[in-house]
Amino acid sequence: MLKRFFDNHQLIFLGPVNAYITFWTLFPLLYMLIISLTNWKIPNPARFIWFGNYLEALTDPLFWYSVRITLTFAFAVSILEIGLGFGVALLLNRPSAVATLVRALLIVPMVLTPVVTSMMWRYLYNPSFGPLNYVLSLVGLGPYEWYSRAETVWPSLMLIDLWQWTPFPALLILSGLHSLPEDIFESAQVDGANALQRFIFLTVPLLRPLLLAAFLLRFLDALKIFDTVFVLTRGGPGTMTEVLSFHIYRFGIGEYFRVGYGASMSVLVLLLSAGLSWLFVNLLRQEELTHA
Amino acid sequence: MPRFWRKVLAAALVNLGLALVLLWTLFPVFWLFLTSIKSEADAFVYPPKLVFTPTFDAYYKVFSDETGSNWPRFWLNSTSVALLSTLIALLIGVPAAYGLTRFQFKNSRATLFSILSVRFMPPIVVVIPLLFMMRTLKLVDNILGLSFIHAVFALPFIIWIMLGFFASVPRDLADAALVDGTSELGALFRVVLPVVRPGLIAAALFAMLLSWNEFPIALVLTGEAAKTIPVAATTLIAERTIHWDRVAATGMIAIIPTVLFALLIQRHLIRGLAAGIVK
Amino acid sequence: MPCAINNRRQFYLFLTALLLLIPILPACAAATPETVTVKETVVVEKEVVVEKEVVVTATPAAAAPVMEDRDYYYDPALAGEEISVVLYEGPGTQHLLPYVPQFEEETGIKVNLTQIAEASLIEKEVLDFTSQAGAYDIVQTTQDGAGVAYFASSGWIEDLTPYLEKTPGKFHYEDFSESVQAATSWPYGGVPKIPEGRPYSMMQELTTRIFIYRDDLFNDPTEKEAFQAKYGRELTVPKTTDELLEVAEFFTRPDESLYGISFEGARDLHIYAVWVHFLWAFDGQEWDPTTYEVTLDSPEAIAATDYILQLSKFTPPGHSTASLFEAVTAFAQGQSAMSIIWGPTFGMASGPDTQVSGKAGFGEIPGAKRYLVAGVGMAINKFSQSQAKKDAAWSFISFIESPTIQTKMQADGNAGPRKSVYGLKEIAEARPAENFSTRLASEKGHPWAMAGGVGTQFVNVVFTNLNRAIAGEVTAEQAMQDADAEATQLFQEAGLIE
Repeated sequence: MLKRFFDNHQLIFLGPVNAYITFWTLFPLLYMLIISLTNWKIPNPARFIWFGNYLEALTDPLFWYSVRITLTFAFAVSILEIGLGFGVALLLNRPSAVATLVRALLIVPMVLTPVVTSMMWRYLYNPSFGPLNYVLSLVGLGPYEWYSRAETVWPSLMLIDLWQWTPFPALLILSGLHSLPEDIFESAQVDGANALQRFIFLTVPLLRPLLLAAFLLRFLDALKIFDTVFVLTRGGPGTMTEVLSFHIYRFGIGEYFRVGYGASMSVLVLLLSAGLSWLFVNLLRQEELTHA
Repeated sequence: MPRFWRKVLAAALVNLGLALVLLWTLFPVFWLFLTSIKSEADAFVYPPKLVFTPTFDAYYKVFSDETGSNWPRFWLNSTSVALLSTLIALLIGVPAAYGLTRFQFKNSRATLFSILSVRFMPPIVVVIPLLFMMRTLKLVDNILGLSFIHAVFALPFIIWIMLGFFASVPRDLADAALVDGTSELGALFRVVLPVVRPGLIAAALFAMLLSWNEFPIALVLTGEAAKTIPVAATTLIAERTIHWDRVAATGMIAIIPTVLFALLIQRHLIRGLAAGIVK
Repeated sequence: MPCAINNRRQFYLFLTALLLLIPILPACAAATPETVTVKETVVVEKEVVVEKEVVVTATPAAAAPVMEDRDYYYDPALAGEEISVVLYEGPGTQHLLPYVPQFEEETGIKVNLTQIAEASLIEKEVLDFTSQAGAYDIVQTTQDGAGVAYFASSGWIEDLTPYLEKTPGKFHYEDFSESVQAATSWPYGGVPKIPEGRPYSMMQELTTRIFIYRDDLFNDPTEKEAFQAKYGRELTVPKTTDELLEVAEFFTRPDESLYGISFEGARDLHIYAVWVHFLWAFDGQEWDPTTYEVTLDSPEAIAATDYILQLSKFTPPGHSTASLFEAVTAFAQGQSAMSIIWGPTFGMASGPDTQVSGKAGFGEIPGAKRYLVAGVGMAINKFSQSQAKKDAAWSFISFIESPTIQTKMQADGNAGPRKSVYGLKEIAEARPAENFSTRLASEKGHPWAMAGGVGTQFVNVVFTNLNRAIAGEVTAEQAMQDADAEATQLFQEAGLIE
């Protein structure tokens, strides 16, 4: 009998992870689902209003605005980071002491405590005393109210994300470049293809699964943007930068303590993330199959 | 232009590009450091002072401040939680990743998907139920409780990285061990793991970094006893603190261990990252 | 790999190991953090040496006072109790810390103190209340967004009446002004407090917004001349809202990096704290105190909001996201000629570390008729684990609030609420601006947003819409109408209006 137990591979190998994750996520998920069906607002008692919250969220223009800007932001930064990252990877793809140094230090922005990153940029962006405006003033460019004006707030927030996360696809692509088989390139060169042609028709297609994975990873992560908005704009100016996680925070805990409503929006976001993850898993599998 | 000069020009441009990348990457951190060693008066002057007498006054103030005197404890907490959560995640995740690669489970895709989707959920979303749950289990404001939760978030990463490494290990390796009579688990521990050591290290390091910097869950689940560095740093960067030099010093204190740690392990991290994607 | 890289790695390894080891060593030795005696020497320009014999250290008095001598609640049976206190991270807490050991000595009650950043404090406390865990015996109540109204109306904190009754007469509860008493009581019906109002918290820090200005600029002959020429009257420190607008316009010179006035514009409660003074200056009110009908769309409220928008034109760049420190720093760096700040931040705005040290004057906010009662206080958690703990908690609270300790804390620089204490000549002269703000709050104070459980949310509704107006998204009128609609719905859901 014991032997049967140990022979059941699924139980032994997957059992612990399934049990662990189920234990820690099942209750919160169920709890969240149930609460989302109530109108619980601390300190009032809760009453079941079934899909009232969902209806409210789905008909709230601010909620849709929030979804839209979050998706747009995530998409834009991911694409930019892949592009920039590719450039940086190409620069680093040469054996030199400088390249090694840069490669080692490139990791720094990614590992900083998020709150510190946000605070740091808050000072850098300060319109009156920040060094960014100072440096720009030396070349005659105006002082900018970076994250205080509607015109410049999105670029400002995106800049921070770019600064922090471009190293991720850069390093990933660099490893990818290193693992490319040399012979294909050599034979292409023999066949008369120049550097640019080799790049467009060989390098990029070969790296496609890597690029796709990097994009999807960054995209899903960027959807969670919270710290920078919390520290710099608090959803402002007005409601311009009220991204999804901040919106949920504001209603669910921070300002209104409408736990029920917050839970319903969280469920919706969860569905969104789950859908995108499923897409991710499938796309990745597909790439693996075709790539091999 | 003759070949030689073309190469020199190309090299110069590349180096210029690299220099720019370096400047761009490090300027903010460097500037934060500069601010932290300025005196209070110098800290926020316009135009910014580039020449000044450096002082570690700000650091001293942060350390001698009421909460500041607890910094050693915060360091200890952050380190303990990082180590413990990584250990748990490794113990559970490594066999899972191995199992998924080695055996053709019927619903492996479903399992994989559910594990991954944990990672892509904003923590804000689960904070309240987690708090109630931990209260019932009496695990609030303690290292063990926080480690359990951090392990949940580390698992997808560990599994994903190890999947890549395990997939590149030939089946015969484990098969050979089985012939000798060891169990599957035994084969994993005795034969396969040594081969994928770099992946293990990368996965572990990544998980530790993740835990060290985690903020929303730590904020809600810790009080004073198990407070971690990000929570402490945020506490000190509160609204009323207009002492920019102190805020900068706090920031530096929070990030110096992480930066040094990252510099140390960066090679392993890159290999680990790539292995999970590229076969 | 070449040797050089290996060495570097080993170096980092060593450093990291060192860094990781260092904290472990002292952490093993240290048990709980000791209360450090921090006597902050805030050198304010006009500080006068305090003549009164005030002992400012943490060492206990030579002889423990006899029970009858005490001016706070004390019960020897409580010795050995342990209480948990959660307070915000800031000056109010810093000032009481040195007296905790003295309390523990005199009463035998052990105090475990946790400090939390103000931004997260309310969330944490509410979570503790709703789970009824009683993790904290004393909770911090903040006056912004009505912590007292919120907690008391939700039934989370103790009615202090029975506790006050068993406290020695020397405590002198009447030493707290009517405004303060009304602000810390529930139910609320205005100042002075209504007969049904019961005290729920004791304030440890009392403050409000004051007006500060660059004395040197106002006394500068060139400026006076220019002003006379442009506006046809003498340049004086503004006393009315119209004068303020004029002077702000006069001093706004972007090319010289000088702006008329700096104050918060970011989407948080600080903008509310500024705006509400002008609301009251224009004779508006947030809602009708008897019917709870929201009056944000009244002409007065709209006029006040419009005024804020006009004033915002004369602020330094970045106004729509300017939070407290941007606003104060602007004045400290000489970028703004005037500001409206919290009293206790006067030192940061014009102390010796700033560019404007010695050049700042202070006074009443131009046109203001009432002032916010702001500050923090302490209350007893209803879900505390035993009555003994609650009594011990009250012992601590009354100790900190006692005349003896309050006098000492005031000498340290605390902005305490006792009339007899802030009225002392030496205290008033030591920190004139902070003292002035305490006095204003005490004598002309008016609590804010005392709307049961939804006070905070009311404030949120208002400041969100104010920020939208400042960011140019909507007009003042639209902002107030939106705020009125949202707030009315809020009150309806809370059962305050039909």
